[in-house]
Amino acid sequence: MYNYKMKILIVDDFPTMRRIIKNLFKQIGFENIEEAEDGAIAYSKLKNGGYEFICSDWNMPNMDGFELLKKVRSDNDLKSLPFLMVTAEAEKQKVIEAIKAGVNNYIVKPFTAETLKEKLDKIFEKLGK
Amino acid sequence: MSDDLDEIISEFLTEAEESLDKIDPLFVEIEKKGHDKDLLNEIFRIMHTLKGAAGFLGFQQIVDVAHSAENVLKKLRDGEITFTKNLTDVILHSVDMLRLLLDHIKSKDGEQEDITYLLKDLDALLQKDSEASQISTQHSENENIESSIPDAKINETTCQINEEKEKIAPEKRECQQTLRVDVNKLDKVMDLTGEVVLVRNRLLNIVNFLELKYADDPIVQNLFETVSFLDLVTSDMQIAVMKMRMQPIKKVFGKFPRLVRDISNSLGKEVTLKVSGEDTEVDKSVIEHIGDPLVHIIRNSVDHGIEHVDVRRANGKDEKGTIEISAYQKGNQIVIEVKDDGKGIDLNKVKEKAITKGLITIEEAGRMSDNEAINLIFQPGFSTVDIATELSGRGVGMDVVKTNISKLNGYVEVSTKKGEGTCFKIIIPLTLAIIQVLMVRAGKSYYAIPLSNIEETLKISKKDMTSVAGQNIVNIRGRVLPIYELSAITGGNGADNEPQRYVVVIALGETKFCLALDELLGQEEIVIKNIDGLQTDSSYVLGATITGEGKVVLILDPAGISRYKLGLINT
Repeated sequence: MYNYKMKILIVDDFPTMRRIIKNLFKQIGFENIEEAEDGAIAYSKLKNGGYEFICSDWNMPNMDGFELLKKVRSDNDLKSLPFLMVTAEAEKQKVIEAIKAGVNNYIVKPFTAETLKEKLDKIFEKLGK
Repeated sequence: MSDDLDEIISEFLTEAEESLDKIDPLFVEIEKKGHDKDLLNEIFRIMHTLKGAAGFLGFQQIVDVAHSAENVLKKLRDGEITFTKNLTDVILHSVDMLRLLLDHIKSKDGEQEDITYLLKDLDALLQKDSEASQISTQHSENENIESSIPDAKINETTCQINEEKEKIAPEKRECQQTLRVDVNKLDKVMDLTGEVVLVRNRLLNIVNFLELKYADDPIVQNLFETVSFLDLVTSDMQIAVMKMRMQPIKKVFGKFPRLVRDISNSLGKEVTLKVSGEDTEVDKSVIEHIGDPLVHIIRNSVDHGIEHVDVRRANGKDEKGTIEISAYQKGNQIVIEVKDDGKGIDLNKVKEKAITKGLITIEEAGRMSDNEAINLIFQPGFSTVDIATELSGRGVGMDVVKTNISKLNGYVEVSTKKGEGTCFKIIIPLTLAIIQVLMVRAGKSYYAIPLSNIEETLKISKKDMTSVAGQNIVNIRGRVLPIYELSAITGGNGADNEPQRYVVVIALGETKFCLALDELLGQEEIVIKNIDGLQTDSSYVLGATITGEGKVVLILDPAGISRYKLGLINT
C-alpha cells in the first residue's frame, strides 16, 4: 500500500502535539518521523531533502501551515510532496483556501490513528491513480 | 500509545502551564497598549494549541474552557468585539480555571470543577455584538469539502511568496534544540560533579606534596601535569553543569504584571510596572524560592508604598505610581531590585511600632541608625499598618522574606527616602552548590566561611578589643564593630591563649560584625553537602564539606550567626 519507511515531517509549535501525532503515525507503522516547530524550520529541513510526506498544523508562529504549504508548492524540488494539513475546526473557508493552494487532504483535531490512516489511504490512493 | 501516555500527559502539563504563564503578562500588556493584533494573536494561539492537545488527551473540560475563550479572543482579534475590563477579568479567570484543571490532572484527584458559570460568562461576551455564528464541526460538511479536493494540482496563483515574511522569519526564530530532562537526573549530575570536585581537591593536595618531595622525578612531573589538566577540566565541567541548571528569571517575573494589576485594581490605585533584565539567568533553586519573597515585597510596595491617586496628586507627584523590577548579574552575584516611587518608609513610625510591639526599648530606638531602623521591618511580628488588609500587613511576611532569601545564601538591603520611595535590593550568589570559602580554625575545630560574606581579614592584638556595656567591640581604622569569639558561638572548645588574634570581618549588606579566631588556613573552592536532619534556617551552619585533606568541615552561615547574635541582643 505505502512505504512504511518513508520519511515524514511533523510540523507543530507545541511539543506535546508533535509527540501525539508522531505516536499516531507510529501506531500505523511508520518509523522514520522527524519534527519541526514552525513552518520556517520545516521549510529549511525540507530543503535538505529526503522527505516524502508532510503533516503540518495550521496555526503556528513565524510561518504558519498555510504559508508553508504555499512555499512548498512553489518550490520546484518540493512541489509534489504530499501535504496533510491539521486544523482545529473544519472552517470551510480556510479549508477551501488550503485546497486551492494544493493541500492533499486535511484532518480535524482531535483524531485517532484510524482517522489518520483513512486520510493517508485517500491521499496515496489519489496519488497512485 | 498507552505506554507513553503518562509521559505525554506529564509533558502536556508542563508545557500547558508554561503556555498559560505567558498569557497573564501578555494580557496586562494589551490592557495597557490597547488593541494589538500581534499580542492577541499570540494569546489566541496559546488557547488554540492547548485546546488541540487537550482534545487528543481527552481532557474535555479544558477543551470546553479553551474553546470558549478562543472564540472570544478570535472576535477580539478580528475587532468584532471591544475590550472591557470585564472581558479581561473573564479571560484571566479562564486562565486561572485552566490552571486549576491542570492541577487536578496533575494530582490525579479526579475532581471536576464547575465550569458552567465561566462558560456562560465567556459566551455572554460573545453574544454582546455578534450574530452568534459559532464554528460548527459537522462531519458531513467536511466530507463535502474533501470530495472537492483536486488531484495534487498546484495552483499557480498561490505561488507568490510573501518576500517580506521570508526575510523576517529566519531572524525571528531561534533555532534552539532543547531536551527536557528530569530534574532529579540533573541534580544527580550536579551531585556527582560535586564529588569530582572534592576528589580533585584531594588529588591536588597529594600532588603538591609529591611535587615538593620528588621534584626531579619525571613521573611525578607527569602526574603533576595531568592533575593540572584535570583541575582545569573539572572547573569547566562545574561551570557547564551550573549553567544547565540556570533559567531566565523571566519565569518568575512573568507573574508580576498580573499581580500588580490585580492588587492595584482592588486597592483603587494606579500603578505602572516596569520590568527589566528578565533574561538574567539564575539557578533553578533560586527560581523556585525567590517567587514568594518577591510577591510579598511587591504587594507591600503597592499596598503600603504607592499612595492613593488623590494623595499623589496633592503631593505634586505623577498620579500613576511606578514600580520597577529589575535583575542583573554583578560579579558572581545576582541582584534583584524592587523600586517604588511611593511615600517611603517612615522610620519614626517604624521605631514607634517596634517599641509598642516590645521589639526594642525606647533607649535602643534612640541609638539606632537609620539602617538599623529599616531592618526592624524584618523582625518577626512587625507590621506598620494597624488594620490588616487582605493583601499584606498581617505581621507575617517581611521576616519570612528575609528567611527565604537567606536560605538562598542571599540578603536584602532596603533604602528609603521619605516621599520619594523605597528600594528593596536582593542579593544572592550565582550558584548555590559550589562556593569559595575561607578555611579557619577556632580552638581545635575547623570551619569554612563563605568568601562572599567576608569583607576583610586582619590580625589584632588582644588589647585592641574592649568591652562596652557587656559587648566586645573592636576598633578597625576608626570603625567600631562588635566582635564575637567564634568558638563561643559554635560551642567548641576554648580559643588559643595567644596575645594575637585573627579577625574576619563579616559583611551582610550593611550589617557588619567581626569573628575572632585562631588561624586562617586559606581559600578553597568547596561543594556544599547538606547535613541530614539539620534545620539550616535555625542554626549557624549552612552544611558541610570535605576538604582536600579529606576532613569533614562545617560551613558557617554568617546570616545565621547574625540572627543568632541578634537574638542574643534582644533577650
